[in-house]
Amino acid sequence: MMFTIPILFLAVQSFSAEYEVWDAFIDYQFSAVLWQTFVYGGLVATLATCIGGTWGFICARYDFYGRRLWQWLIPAPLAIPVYVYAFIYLAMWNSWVEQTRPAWLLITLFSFAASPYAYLLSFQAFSHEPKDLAESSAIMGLSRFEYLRLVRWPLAKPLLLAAFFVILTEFIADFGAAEMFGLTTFSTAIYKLWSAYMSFGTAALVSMLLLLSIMIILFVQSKIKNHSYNATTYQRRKLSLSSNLLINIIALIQSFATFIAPVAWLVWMASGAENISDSWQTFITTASLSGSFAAIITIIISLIIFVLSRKERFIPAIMQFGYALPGTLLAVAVTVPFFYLQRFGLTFLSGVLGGIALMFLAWSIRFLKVIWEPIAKNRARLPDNIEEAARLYEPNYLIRWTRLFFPLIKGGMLSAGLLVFLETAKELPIALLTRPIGMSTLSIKTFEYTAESQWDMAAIPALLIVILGTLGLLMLLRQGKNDA
Amino acid sequence: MLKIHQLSKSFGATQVLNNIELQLKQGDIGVLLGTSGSGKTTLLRIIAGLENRDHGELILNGEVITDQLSPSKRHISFLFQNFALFPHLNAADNVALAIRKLPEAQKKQRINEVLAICDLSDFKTRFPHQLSGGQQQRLALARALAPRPQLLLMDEPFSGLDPELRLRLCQEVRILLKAQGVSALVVTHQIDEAYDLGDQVSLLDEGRIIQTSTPYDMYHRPSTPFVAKYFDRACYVDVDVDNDFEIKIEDIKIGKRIGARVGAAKLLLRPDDIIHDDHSSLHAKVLEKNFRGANFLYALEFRKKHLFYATVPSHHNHAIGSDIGIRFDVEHLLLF
Repeated sequence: MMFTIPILFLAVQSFSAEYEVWDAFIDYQFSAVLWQTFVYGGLVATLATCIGGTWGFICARYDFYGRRLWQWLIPAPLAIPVYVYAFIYLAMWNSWVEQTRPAWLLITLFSFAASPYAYLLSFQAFSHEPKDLAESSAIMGLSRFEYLRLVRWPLAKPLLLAAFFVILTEFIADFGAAEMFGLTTFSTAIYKLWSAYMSFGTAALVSMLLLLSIMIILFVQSKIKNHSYNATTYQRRKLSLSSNLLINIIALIQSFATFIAPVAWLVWMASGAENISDSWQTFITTASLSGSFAAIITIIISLIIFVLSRKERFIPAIMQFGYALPGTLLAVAVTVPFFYLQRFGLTFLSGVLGGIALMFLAWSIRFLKVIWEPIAKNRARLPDNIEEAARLYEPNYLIRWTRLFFPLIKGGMLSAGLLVFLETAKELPIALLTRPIGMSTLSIKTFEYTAESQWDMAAIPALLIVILGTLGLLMLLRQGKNDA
Repeated sequence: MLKIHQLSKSFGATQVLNNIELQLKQGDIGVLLGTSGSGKTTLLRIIAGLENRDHGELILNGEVITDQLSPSKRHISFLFQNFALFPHLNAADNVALAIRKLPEAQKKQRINEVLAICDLSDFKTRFPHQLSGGQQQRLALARALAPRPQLLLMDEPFSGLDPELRLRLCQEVRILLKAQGVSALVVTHQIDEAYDLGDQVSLLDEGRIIQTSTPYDMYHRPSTPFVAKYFDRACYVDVDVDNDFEIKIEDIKIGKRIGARVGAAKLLLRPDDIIHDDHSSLHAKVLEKNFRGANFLYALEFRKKHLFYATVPSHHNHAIGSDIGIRFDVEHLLLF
């Protein structure tokens, strides 16, 4: 329901596209949209997979001084949304970058910012060794290089390909960074068609094209087979002194450029902003209110999902889908039904649904995956027949729920709520397109101040986003460590 | 073809293998039998070169094998418990990897040959996850046989399979290995597998080989009560051996064993040594009974002193507590 109704309305709305606007879009923008979305996206995904994949491989298979520190710092850019990077680098080099806004800089920034996705998956792929396969290869006489090429690499490839597609969809979904650097991607085009050209039908039609592209990517992604094998933790090999030095220098430069310097710059800028106490208070209140409300909705949805998922096997697949949909597309999709309510004179209902509810609906769809993953982990620990077993001892459904299932999924639901709280703070396109008039989030504030080149003011919400992002990342890394 | 002399191995303070002595003839299938933790898999891994030994000698086809000799240069194949098939390669490519240095034409021919031997010709392009448990096992065997190893090592190769398939594969594998003339050493803790596969069986306990002999001798001529008990239900009854070497349970003559130590002893009685006979003058009381399909396994009390088991055809269904006629038919008189 949550998915199908908005998308059906989106399809219907796309028939009402204005031909002049559509023609102009096709003539003047379409080739740029395709090139800058998919070629730039492909480039970013390839670069990020190479950077993150290499770090994952190095940290998983070699022991070197400072490894534990770098294992925390290399994925640290995940705490900083790419549009915050874009803002920081625009502001830091405002003399020439602000005027030229070169695409290569955004591609480089995006590649480093998204590389932790590849790092985490590559680390996961290489830190576990298929011991039997390794021994079998040794008996067959495979050299170390042959083993890596013929056995280890093909086994790790599906995870690295998954990283490539995650980064590609992240690039396609990005709005803020692309807009700041003046790129013409699907996301920025939809935003402009809506807000500048006021052509909602054309925005819906372009959203349908974007949806089609996302479906193709998801289809290709689903064809990648992940190989299962019995694995044990890999015993890392020690590195020579010169390799140690080289790795530490490169890791230091990368971490400095992608985390240490940006955060230090944000702190410095934020501390110089005027009316500091007022701004901080406003921003924290905004983030807390919207985030908490989204988290509460999330917890309610997560309960419903948990109940459904015990019967419906398709739920896990659907959960992944929402995260792949770019925010601009979702914003358009949830707004269409709202317009139809207004068109048919149901103003009261549209009043109830409009405004903040649309934003929360779009967020809920987008973050279903974030909700689902901690719950799925808890759910996986429950055997399929536990409900039947519980029924033998407790006939009352409500008591069964409160005493048996709720304690088992409570932890997962709370993590899901917290993660959504953090995600909503940094989400930009949905908030920007669906917010009620006068409402702001941390991401919107960063975006607006950046547009006005008020770097010191933009630094405050951006710093808060980074702090919240760091909390979320620490939570995820710790969880990952516990699961491993 | 394989000779192991005084081989020992410890992990930290735990001695896993202790002065192992073992020999295997060319073309024979040896079975290493024992409970979990008895050291059998470690022994196999040392022979393969996957573990180093503390000391001891390993000779393969007259050549002394040192720990420094890499696994690939030992001319052995290893069949892992979980088959260790490469999940990203199809059946033919899994085999091809083991013989990748052969010229292309010969490689193709050998792949076809071993897949045909293992009845997998129609599954060349299937990936491991598309094969059944039995087919995966046969593919692992095909891959192991492809390089024509001097010795095939198998670590609990049938453990993950259901009993019926296990029985069938055991017989198939033995026929196949014999047809190929491949020597093999198989680790298992299943006695039935040892019977079905082995030309010789070695029983390990706490890192020592307790006895090595044919499966028949393991059962009928166990060297220690531990071996006797491991291979089937074994009971020991008090007997007397007189000066004529006549063995008696009280006044009942069981048989003669020339050279036996005169005096009191314990005689090993297996369930098949006791015959149920309605016309016999000797009677025993049924204490317990377990239905085994074709047979009952009766726990019997004889003259309120002696306890032993008897396997009786299941149409002789006697109630617990009733007396049944028995006679002793002990072919292998084993005194301890």
